[in-house]
Amino acid sequence: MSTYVDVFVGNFVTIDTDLYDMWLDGLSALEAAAVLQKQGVLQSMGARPDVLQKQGVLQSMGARPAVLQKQGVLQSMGARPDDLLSDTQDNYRLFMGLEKLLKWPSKLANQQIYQIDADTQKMLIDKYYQFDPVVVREILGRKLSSNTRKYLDDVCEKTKVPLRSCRRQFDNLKRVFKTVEEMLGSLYQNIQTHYLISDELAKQYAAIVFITNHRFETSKKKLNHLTLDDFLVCADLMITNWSYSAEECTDHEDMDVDLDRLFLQDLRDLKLLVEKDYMDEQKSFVIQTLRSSFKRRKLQDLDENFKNIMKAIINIAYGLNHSKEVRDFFVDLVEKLIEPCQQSGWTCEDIENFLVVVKDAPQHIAAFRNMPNLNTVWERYMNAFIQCTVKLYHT
Amino acid sequence: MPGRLKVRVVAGRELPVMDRATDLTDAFVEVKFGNEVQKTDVCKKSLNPQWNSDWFVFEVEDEVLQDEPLELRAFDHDTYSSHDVIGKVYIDLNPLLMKDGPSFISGWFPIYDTMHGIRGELNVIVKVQLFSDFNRFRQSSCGVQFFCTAEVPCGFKLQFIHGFVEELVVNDDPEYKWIDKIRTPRSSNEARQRIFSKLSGELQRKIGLKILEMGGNSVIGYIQNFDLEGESGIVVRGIGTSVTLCKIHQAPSSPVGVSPLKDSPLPEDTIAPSSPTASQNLRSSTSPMKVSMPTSLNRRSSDSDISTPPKGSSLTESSGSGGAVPTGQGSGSKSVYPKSCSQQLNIDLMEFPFFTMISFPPGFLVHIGGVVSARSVKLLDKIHNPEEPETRDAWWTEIRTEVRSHARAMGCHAVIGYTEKTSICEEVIILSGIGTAAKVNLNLDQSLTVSPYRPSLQLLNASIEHQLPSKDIGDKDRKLFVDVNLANQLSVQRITNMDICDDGDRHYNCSVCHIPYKAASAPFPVNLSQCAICKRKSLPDILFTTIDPPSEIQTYGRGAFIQARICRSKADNKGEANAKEISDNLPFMEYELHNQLMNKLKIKGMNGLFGLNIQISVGETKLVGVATATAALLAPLPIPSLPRVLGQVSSSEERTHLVDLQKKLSDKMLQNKEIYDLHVTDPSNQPSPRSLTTDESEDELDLDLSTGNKEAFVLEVDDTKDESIKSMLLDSHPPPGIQVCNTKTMPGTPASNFSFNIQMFTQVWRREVMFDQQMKEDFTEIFECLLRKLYFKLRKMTPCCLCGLTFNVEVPDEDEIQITVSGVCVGVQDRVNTSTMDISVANKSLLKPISSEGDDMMFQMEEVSEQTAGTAVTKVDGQGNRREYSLMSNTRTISGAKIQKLESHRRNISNVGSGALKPQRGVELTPLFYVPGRKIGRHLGSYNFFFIRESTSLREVGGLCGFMHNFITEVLAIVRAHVASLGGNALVAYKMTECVLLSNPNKNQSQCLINVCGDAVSLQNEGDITTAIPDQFQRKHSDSPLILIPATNAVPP
Repeated sequence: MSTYVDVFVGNFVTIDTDLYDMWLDGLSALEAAAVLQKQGVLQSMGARPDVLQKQGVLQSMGARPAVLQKQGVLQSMGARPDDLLSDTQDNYRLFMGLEKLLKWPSKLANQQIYQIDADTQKMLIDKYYQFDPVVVREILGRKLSSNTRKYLDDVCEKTKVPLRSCRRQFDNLKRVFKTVEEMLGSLYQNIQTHYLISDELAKQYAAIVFITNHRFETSKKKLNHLTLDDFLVCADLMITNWSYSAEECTDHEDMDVDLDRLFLQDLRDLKLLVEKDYMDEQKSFVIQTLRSSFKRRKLQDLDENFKNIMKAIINIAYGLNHSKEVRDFFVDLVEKLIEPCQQSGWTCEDIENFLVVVKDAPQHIAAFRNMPNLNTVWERYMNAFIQCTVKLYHT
Repeated sequence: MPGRLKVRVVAGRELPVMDRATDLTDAFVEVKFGNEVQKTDVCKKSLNPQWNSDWFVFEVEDEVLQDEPLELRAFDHDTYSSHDVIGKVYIDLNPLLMKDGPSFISGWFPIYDTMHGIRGELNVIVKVQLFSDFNRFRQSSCGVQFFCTAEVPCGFKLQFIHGFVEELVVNDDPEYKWIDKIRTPRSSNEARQRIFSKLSGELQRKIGLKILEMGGNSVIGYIQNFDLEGESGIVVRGIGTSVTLCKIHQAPSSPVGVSPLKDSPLPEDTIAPSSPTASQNLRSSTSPMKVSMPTSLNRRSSDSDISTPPKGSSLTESSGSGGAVPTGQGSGSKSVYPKSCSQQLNIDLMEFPFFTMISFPPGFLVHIGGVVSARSVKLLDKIHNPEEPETRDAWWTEIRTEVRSHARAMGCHAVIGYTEKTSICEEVIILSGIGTAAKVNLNLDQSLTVSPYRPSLQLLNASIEHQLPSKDIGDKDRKLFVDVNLANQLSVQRITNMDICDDGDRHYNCSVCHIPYKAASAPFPVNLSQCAICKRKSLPDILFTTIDPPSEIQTYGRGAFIQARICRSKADNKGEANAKEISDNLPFMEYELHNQLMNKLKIKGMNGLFGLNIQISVGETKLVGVATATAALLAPLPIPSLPRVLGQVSSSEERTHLVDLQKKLSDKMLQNKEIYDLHVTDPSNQPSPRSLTTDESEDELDLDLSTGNKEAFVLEVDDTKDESIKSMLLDSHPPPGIQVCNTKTMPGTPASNFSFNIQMFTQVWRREVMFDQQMKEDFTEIFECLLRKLYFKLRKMTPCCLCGLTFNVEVPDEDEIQITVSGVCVGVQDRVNTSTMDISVANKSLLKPISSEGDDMMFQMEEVSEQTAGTAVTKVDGQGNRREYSLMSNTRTISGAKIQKLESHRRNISNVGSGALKPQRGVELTPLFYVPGRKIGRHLGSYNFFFIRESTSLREVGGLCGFMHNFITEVLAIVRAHVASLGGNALVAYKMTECVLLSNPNKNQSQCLINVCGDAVSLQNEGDITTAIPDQFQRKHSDSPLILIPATNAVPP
């Protein structure tokens, strides 16, 4: 280490957003400076070089001809790569100082060390908590342990996202998770109050925390084609429909991270729907209703498979009671429902139409009319289920 | 007489985790003042403790209140072992002792630990109840207001100037005591911080006493310096200008009870007869001087007489002050006239007629001579008796005496813009004093301040016209001339020509530039020419000054930043031999610096320097000299002609070289003319000078002015590769859109063009520098490189002006150079002045019109420049300025594909980072005395603190760079917190006077000392009544916002 010092400190914190992004992306100061240099940051300094050249300034300026040759004469009017690097390092030092605060964003607003205006604070936080969908997709559903952190090496290789960035994303997730894991109340609100991130981002984090908490299986080969967004949308649907913060849930004492236990118990009663008598009645109602919109072949197909499909739907519902089967929600959904339908050549619309009718079916069956409770549970289940299926139904 | 200090510790926040087991802290606070210590309860297991303590009351002498800072120390309570220190908060109580200061201090103070930096914050309320003390023999000087601002502070009016005040106190440095060997670095650092703080308090108290004795109520242009002499101790020096200020719109008040002037517009009539005859006698007896009184209205001019023995005048002062100057609290209440008399006599009676201000009320400056300086090299020895630091005092007296005699040699009776500096290397110390010799008019009574530009001014403005061409900085040279001086040639001359432009708000007065002596008796050979404005008086062809550009001097075009740099090696001697070598080198260094400045000035096509600051630093094997100034083209002075290169040529090859050089020079000069907009309007087009007074002594007109000035500036070249010319050519320009000056205002850019403060910055650079043959070039390159870095850093702020740029160069180690640069980047609104901005103007029309004015335009600037670069695609949407994010598209090396995604991902995030270009809200720090676009509502006291930071884990904090970055950031944060606690939102006249970095990277250690100072103020936005910082508690004394009326309209009370 030498006694070399080259620092620049301002009274107000100003963020070079380009550099901040590169820092977040895990580029080293050297790499970032190189990127900027290629973009021509240096040249933009010496506006009107043509004029100056004419006047012979550049030649007379030429302190170091060798350097000039390398960089092109125009640059010498403005900054040199050294200056760019030193600027980059100053910014990086600032980012590193800010990082301590960004880990607990509420501190950023209270601290006096850095004088940052509110908009910039918001931007800093939001960008810091931004993640790469590809990276999070890889670690989704995994336990956020040190083992997973080691696994990031593979993630980095696979996604080509620099390891530093992967680690930041992982650490952010883990931190958010640890903070809200045991907290009462709305998951999304908890995240927002503690991390001050934008609505949209907070929602995404809530979904990720939800998935992580239930350890949903997302890495099976069969699910490979699904994107992070697919999972997050589904998780969000589950939170809004099936968790304690759902409208139907009367008892808000528990945490959002968990599914509404009462609802899950009620789901067991759905077994009734797959009993033979009811099944037939439903089948006929559904086929009746869909007759106009479905082609003949599909109707025939439906006729053959209706039982299996219904069983799959109910089994998934039933399985939500058992934590082990909850984990396989996505696998089951894809394996038992989506894939068979795809094989039969159903479109996304087909399945949606079908499921909507299935959802309404019990209302039209006399036997169920006097079981209002079952109806509400069925609807609550199906509301989310339909949307999840549609979301995951990639053709 | 005692005062009561009351302190309440309200709460803490974001404290560090002190107990690993619980991840919490059991915090309590010790409140220490003087030797008394009180404590809060322990707030168990909390990182955000709420103590809500009762008021801790300390009953103390006001003397102690001035000297000692309040010390709060936060601890983590430990039942079994000793309590762990979290950190400390020092609060200077002086602002509470001010007459119209804040009534309490309250706010969140960062808890600072010298080993760990900032660790959480404390919320504290402090009040002081002071019982006024009328004892004549008291030791305290509460109520004297200190301003680092080197001009009459905004909102005040200058009533009287009492002159130069200086004081120094010395102490042992705790770092060098035997006990330091056994105590921890932390306690050693804290002991130092405490002693620094205490010395600073003591110094200010002593200066305050002197001020009161002189009859003043404030000191402006206060400069405080710490000399860390190592083994021989610490010296804290303070200099300033004692004045009586009164608030505008208030009856003039002064603590000595001088009643407001019964304002007769022309007090001279009465004063002249009443002025003590003693002084006149003294003069006539000692100097064969004729005092001419051309008109009855003319005040007896206070021409200084160089042959007057300095002793005489100083004696007069010390003995006379008791009688003539009302001192003490009760005594002066009725002595209006004696008071005024003392004013008038002052300049002669002052032992050192020095003024530390750098800009002056209109009418104050009569003539500017030139730069005068003195240096001396001394060997440090142990200060045996800290109570009587005679040696240091004597050293400075020598320096000041020399400076004074130089000034007198130039026919000037005053030195303005005066500063003192030291440079220490082991046992050698260089002391220097520098200022600008001038003739001034101290009689700034109301009538004058009110209408400074009315013709009557001249009548009041009696002074001798004298002058000095500031050609010589080298004091050796000057010494030679002292003897030659026109000892008996003082003639009282009236200022005759005032060029008054009534149009606009600028009033020029060319007489300020006229020589203060008779042309025929110049102290040394000077090129004199005829004033381009009035065409009557003679003036030098160039003018060097240490002050800010006075409003009286008309300039053309824009100012330019000029710097001369030299580095000489010297033998690594010790003691006497070392001192001798340095001392032998000094005149040559001064000469070389002067030469460089001259050359650079000429090539810039300019003829005046403002804010000249010369720093000579001594290292073990090096002597470094840096002179920094802002050049301008002064209208009254002759326009510099093209330099002619002359040299001995022996071959045709050399001849072509010479021709080539000459061509380059003229090209450069032309180009400079272009860049700095130096298009001189024909002087004949100027509003014709109104000769408002009759010129009594027309002798000047007989001068043959053709002799000196027609000659072109000649550059003698020894060989065609002469560095002096090279360096002239090498000098780079700031890139388009950036202007640079080291003064507080930019010549040629009216302050109204400055829109708002963008950024105050501090840059610390240090590197090992191995000099070989081309030492000079390399050394210059270091500075050019630093400037380039600055420009690059601030590239997004254009169009802007870097003001108050200061360079501080040190030679801390054998081959190391450390440079600290600081300044403020101010947004420039009016782009008409920045001629280079035409691209943007052209482009601007292509862009959609945008609703708001200033900041948005800056935005476009940025975009335009990017477009020019042809890379980033930018777009301005209708509502304002969201810049679409589109960086690195193809350039990313790591993962191109991913970036694309990211990009879309992030596109939603509006690019708020560039918000830097809007005025930010918060606490402003600025080296200037004003904040563009905002008004200073109230002065809340000066701030001065010494920070020490040490680290034994250098690698872990990011090396030396990381360490320094954090430390400076923390220092700024603490300063801001203190300003805010006084109810302020800005610190003007901010200065980092000291930045000493010691490091031992091999041991993973380093230590840094930083001293900062400035004036806390509360700002108001233009047209905005509420202050930006909400008052948490009602501020009792809060004045109704002052409405500032330009001095010209102020109504005499």
